[in-house]
Amino acid sequence: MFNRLTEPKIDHLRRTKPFLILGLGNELLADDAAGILVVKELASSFFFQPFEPFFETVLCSESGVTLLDYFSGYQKAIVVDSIHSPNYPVGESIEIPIDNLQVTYAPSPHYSGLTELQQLAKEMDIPFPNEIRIVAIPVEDPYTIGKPLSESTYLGIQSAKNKCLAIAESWIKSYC
Amino acid sequence: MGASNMGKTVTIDPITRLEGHGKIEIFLDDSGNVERAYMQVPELRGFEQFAVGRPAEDMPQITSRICGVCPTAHHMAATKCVDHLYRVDPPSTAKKIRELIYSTFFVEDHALHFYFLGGPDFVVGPTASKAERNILGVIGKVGVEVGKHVIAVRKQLRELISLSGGKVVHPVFGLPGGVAKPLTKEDQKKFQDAAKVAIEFGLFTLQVFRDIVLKNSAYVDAILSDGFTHKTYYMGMVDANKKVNFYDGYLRVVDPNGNEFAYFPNQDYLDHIAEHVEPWSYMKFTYLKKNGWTGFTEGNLSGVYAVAPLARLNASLGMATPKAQEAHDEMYSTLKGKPVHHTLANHWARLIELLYAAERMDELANDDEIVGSNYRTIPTNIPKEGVGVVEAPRGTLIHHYKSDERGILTGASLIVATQNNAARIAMSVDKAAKTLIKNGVVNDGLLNQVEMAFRAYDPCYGCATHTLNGEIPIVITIRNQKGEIVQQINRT
Repeated sequence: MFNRLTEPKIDHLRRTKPFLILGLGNELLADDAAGILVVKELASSFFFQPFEPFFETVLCSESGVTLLDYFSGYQKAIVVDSIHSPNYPVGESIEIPIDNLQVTYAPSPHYSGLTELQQLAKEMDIPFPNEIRIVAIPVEDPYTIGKPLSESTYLGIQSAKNKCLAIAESWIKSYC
Repeated sequence: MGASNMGKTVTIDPITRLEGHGKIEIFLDDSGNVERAYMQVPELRGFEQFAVGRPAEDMPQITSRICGVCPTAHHMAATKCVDHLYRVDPPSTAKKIRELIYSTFFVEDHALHFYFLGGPDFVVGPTASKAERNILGVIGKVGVEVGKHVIAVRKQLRELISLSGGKVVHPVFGLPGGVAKPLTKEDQKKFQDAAKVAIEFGLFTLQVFRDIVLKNSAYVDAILSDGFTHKTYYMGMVDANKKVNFYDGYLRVVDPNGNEFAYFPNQDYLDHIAEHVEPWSYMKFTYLKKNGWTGFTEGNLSGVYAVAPLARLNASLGMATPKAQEAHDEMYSTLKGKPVHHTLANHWARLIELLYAAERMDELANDDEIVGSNYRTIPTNIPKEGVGVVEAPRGTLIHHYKSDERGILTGASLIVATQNNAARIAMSVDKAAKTLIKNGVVNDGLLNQVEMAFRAYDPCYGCATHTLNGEIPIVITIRNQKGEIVQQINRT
């Protein structure tokens, strides 16, 4: 029966730019907006203009296996997100090497991590970025509805923007 | 763990494979049997207060940000609510565009649940290891080609929602009195093509269910088992012929014997539904006003009712499209009559609804009025109070706003789908725990089956949770009667 199904009309490769900057978060949940704000500010920044022809800037409130749709077709991607952890100081940004992430089998596709998505894409032959850089902003409060950004998160956002610009510059140098 | 769990509390936190966070606490007695299991919702609330002081027409955009899982349902309920607030009746073309997009969302969302969220319980198996009970495990079972097709179908449908709705995650097409833009002939063709794919996909997925679930006697036994059965009331939205409808109609309630108990316009919901608060949960438990709150009980005297796929089918006289009606008849024939009280049959009902949504997409996409130019009626009335109701994939979703004469909200009340199911979910978790945990024997497989009862409802507690590395701390905490932790098991 499966062989008789009509193929859906989609195109994983319909990308006009080689690189992606993906801002994750929820704008209504206080500091959880950090990832989205970084990418929003970058997209309108004077310093980002030279990179704009090469980078798609995308804001996203989704998670898990659905992120596959966002990543597919790009050569490289930067993911920007908030992180709530006692292990990292607020007011800064950090880069988490993807190689440091454990290959875990998340119990839910809603919580699928990047490594799991990579594996899923490989299993199903879906074009997936060959390099993903993760820029995280440690935050104080990613849970309160309607609360404005913490001051420390604002500082972290500025730091994260600089990290994204540095990564973008290095990619463009090797791309051109 | 065995006998070491006498007189302890077992906590599963967070529950896996559901949208948002929830927690189940299971209290064992001195013999190691379940004394009481509680479903707790530790999520933050306060969204209703957040809405006060904002323009009513912003609500379709704001409420869709409650979570990244069912934004289209909130967007649609809010849009209908502002229609009612302004007493404006959208043109027929606008209603059809809304329902087309909504049906597309239903197909995509139900597919996500079957293959990715609840499906691993059945497709991979309830006692499979945690490394297999996920999407990769499902693909291993159904084949890579099928996995590719599932992802491709979802992607195509999401692109269509994005095309017409502005965004997939937070759609922006709904306006008081209509929609933001018309559907072009080119868009219509895309929906027609997608509907054909969706109908085939729906039929195929039902066959997958027959082959993998219905042909496995252990799975069928689980569906029929007493541990997953409650004789409650059921509520769902129906059209003029009392057939299932997701977008508009009256609400219909049937009793545990399937007799009509109530049938009323959406706006009268407060005459029929009330909320009860328990000290151990942030969730308000809704119940049928006429019967009153009778506790977590079942039967004709109880006020507990259910919503979501199985409830919708139980509360209706059938499906409004032919293939879905056939599938509906097959399910009730197989499960020996209507209503069906087996919680796990929700998975089957969900696939019947997926097929209905696909057929409804096809009907609407082939209706030439959908490309009409009259797609909005500008509101002219002074706003005061409105109610908007839709069937979300997870059940009946009610938005209720009050405003001043400028349309600035002075009050908002939301009854979300899962809230309607909360009492029955609590009963399901308690019953499943009592059936499956005996004499202190608590292992990973058994706990997963407790969660199965929960996941069958496709509950959603609305949050945009996301992680970078896939590590979710699924921790089982065992406490003694003083609340001291005596053991923790990390399930990641």
